[in-house]
Amino acid sequence: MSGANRPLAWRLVWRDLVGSPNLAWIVVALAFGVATLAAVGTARQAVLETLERDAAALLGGDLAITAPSAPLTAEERAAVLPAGARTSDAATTTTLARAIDGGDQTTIALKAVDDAWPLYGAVLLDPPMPPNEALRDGGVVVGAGLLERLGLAIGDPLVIGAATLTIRAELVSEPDRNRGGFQIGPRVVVDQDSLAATGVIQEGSVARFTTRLAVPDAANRDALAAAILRDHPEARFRVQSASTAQPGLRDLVGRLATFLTLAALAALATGGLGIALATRSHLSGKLRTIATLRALGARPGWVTRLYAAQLGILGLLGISLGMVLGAALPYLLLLLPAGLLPFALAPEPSAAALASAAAIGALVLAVFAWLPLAAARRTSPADLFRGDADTGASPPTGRDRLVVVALAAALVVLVLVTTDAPWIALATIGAVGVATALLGILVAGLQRSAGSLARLAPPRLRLPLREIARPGGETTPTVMALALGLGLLTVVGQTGRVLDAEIGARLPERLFSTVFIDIQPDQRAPFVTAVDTATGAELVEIVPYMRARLVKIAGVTARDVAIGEDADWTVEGDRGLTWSTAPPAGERPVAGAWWPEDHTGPLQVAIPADIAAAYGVGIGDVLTFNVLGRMVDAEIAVLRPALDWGSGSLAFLFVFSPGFLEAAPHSHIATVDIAPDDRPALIAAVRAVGSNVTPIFVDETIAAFTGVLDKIRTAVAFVAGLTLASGIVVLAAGLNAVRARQRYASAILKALGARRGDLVRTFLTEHAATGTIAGFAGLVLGIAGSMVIAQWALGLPFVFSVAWTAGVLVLGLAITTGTGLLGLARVVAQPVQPLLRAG
Amino acid sequence: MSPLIVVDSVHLTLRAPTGPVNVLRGVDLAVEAGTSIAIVGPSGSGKSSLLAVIAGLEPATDGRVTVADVDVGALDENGRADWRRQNLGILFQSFHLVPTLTALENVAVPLELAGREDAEERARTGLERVGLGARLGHRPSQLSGGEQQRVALARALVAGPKLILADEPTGNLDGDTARAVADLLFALPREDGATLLLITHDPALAARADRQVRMHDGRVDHTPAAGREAAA
Repeated sequence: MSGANRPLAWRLVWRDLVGSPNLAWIVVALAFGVATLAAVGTARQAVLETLERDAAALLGGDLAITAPSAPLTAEERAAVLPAGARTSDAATTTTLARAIDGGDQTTIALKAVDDAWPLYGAVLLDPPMPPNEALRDGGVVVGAGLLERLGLAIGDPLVIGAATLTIRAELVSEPDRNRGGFQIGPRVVVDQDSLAATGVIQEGSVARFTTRLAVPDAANRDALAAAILRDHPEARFRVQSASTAQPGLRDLVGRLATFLTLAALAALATGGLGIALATRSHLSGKLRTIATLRALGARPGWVTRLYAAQLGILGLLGISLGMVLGAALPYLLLLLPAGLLPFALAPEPSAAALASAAAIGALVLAVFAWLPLAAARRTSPADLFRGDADTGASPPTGRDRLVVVALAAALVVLVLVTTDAPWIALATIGAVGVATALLGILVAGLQRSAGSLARLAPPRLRLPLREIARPGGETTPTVMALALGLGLLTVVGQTGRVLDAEIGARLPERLFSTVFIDIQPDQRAPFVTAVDTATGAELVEIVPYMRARLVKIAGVTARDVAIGEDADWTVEGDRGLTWSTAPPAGERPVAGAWWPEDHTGPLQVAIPADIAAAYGVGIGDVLTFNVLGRMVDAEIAVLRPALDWGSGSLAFLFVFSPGFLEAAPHSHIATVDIAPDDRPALIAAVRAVGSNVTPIFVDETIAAFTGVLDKIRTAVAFVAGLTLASGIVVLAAGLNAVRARQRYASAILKALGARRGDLVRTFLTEHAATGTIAGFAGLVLGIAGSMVIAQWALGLPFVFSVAWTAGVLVLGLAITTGTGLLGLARVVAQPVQPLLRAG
Repeated sequence: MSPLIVVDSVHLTLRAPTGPVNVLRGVDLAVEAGTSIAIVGPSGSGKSSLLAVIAGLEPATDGRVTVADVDVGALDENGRADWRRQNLGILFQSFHLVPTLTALENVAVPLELAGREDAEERARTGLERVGLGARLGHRPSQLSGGEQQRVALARALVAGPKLILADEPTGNLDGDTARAVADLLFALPREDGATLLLITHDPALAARADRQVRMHDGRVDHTPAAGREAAA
């Protein structure tokens, strides 16, 4: 606004801002979305910076070399360890621990370390003491939950395998905790002497041996790792550099940030409907003033700038508030208990995160406020002479639509360039766009139906139904916003039902399964006997087991073969394998034929057909494995159906012909069906076979898995909640317009003889009908979305949840009638005359 | 003396959902400077539309409107806004005061839009002229209908316009209040030497004008009978 009339402009801006409480919803909607975006961005930045800063501590060294089954041999060490490097060796395995009195026992993630541990970072113990001191002379430190689970205390003995050790401290945090992937049971740390005393790691045991290195030239660690990989392309071990060692965590943080960013955007977009609603309702109340100012000689641009400035101030307020909240929220992470995160977080306001959140907030405001502003600009002062200056219903021009599309495109581009996963973001934005468009069509149809229904409805219901059908009112954006939230909630519920049904359908047959690992060849027979004689136990299968690494595919180093993303994992590290004289019962090969039972020829292998396709190999091609340092060629004889991980049976990627691998150190793995009550007797019987034989309880694993699933569900429910909260903000933003309309209608109806009760019924019917339409639209959208997710993303049959359906409908009704009740008594109690005189 | 307003074969066609509506169908009119003219006629005869075209609020579909030798239709939107600010004062039937501004601030609006430093002082004088010197700080909602219309009159006159356009200025007021506003409406422009163009259904109000013109079906009825009828 230029020129000497600035005081007038600011006076008008200020008076409107102060006198229009409804405008506060613009601030609320923006602050809400921007705060979430800024908080997610700041937390993401803090985590990534910490990962960068503490990379060596997180890996436990500059480099980590991990081998399956057996530690690095002297030759391997001589070949790969660089001169001047300090090293620390650790072994990890899964085994059992129990109290000395033979009471409860629990699965633990055992880690044996040497005196050099940790090379980087610090081990925090409670009570505080150096780790060497804690582990000396049969000492053991235990992770969270173990003491409680076994009813033990510091100083108590703990039995692991054949050794009785002493608990010296609880492990609060260990620097290299995040290594090793999925962990069953709490961590227990011992030293190498204690490990030997336990006897849990024997030849062929399922264990990992990691040598960590602190190299003199840490800056050069990536080059060093690359050099080792280059020089030993077919080695059985895996080499990681600290700089690139946390791709999983990095990806997880990136994806989580993308997910939460999209959640914030969904909330912001829903809030955008509120912004549009509040802006439109505010400006349509100002059309007379705008026309008057124009009639008095104000230029149209000046008037537009006046109201744009108003929105700008509100935007600035909302965005600033959002930025302050967003910068402050990540500090809540500091309140998390020590040791929950594998590193110490130091959140700092991130200028980039705050700037992008602010820019996105500003664009959302522009996208949603443009059309109402443009409508205000088109207000003709000539309308004052016709008495229709307050209709403002002229449709947007092509140019204005184009501007909105351009602003929306800029918003999408901004989101895409600031996210870690642009494709996921683009797909989600596309899906939300399509869903919103479909919702728009659905809501318009439902509104029209309400209009048609009004003709047939009893007289008392006609007025509320016509109000809902009225075009250009606040009903459409309100219903859309609410339906989006309810739709997401439906997706959460229905998809959860699909997963529950799937888990439920698969679990019963194997629910009581226990997997036993590390059964030595000479323990096989006694183990089978122990199971056969145990009450209620049924041996499902027992197969030989060893770990090896696929190093060559048809003569080409596996790392150099272009393998699809879906099969990449099969060559990344060592894999469990078995051998068999016959195919699994009932299985037919996709191609080739299983070897005869008495096969004695060259080693053959059966692999899943989809994996073979990913490798680009077929029957007759040769795969080369590094088995305990020895290169072993196997010819592909059978292509099997794709692995069914959910079958409850042991699923092996590679099944070999017999006659060759038996000579290598190996163990057996067995599954036993047994009810939980019969377990202790079986475990005791198996312990007599050997303390190295470790049971893994499938139900515990499933509990860990469903725990993860529950966390995912909570996260998705959080997103739905955020969007629903935005929907409620929109509802509240529209309430002012609703109240103004109801006040007027109430005055007229009272003048025509309506009682207060009639009015309350009429208005509540209107709110209830709005809620029903929103609930119904949300349900249709949510169920359709769940079907798509179930079918395409999860590959599971859709299962309808009646409870969620009813719940969502009731929630929609409760929200609209609940907010509708607010202030309704005042509306219907208002005297008629002043309203009609002012009208 | 050349006429202040010259309306030459003005047509106005508005688009409506049912098709185009010919609101003005070739209006010719000339109004001398410093005089008052009342336009009468039945509802829908095009009176208000003629006012809007003269004020440059609605561009004529055809024909020409000249006010003080300025071809209003030749100005662009901003030009018309500036011209209106400098030359016109408008009075509406529904007052159209800005509800968030006080009486004083409402009257000051045209002067502030023109960037006048003495806006408040002149607005105060303007309100005193219409007898509202004691109501400067009141908002429109705190004023009666007659008071609101007097504020609107002060606003119309405050910038010293050459032409006052009044659309049913007493239409929303009761008899005594209407008479008081009408007294001011005729007296003050005359004092300032401004021309008054008035639309009214009230024969008594129309009779106070120097000249009356009857409109019918989008045209000015120039027949002598119409003139007599309008003056009656």
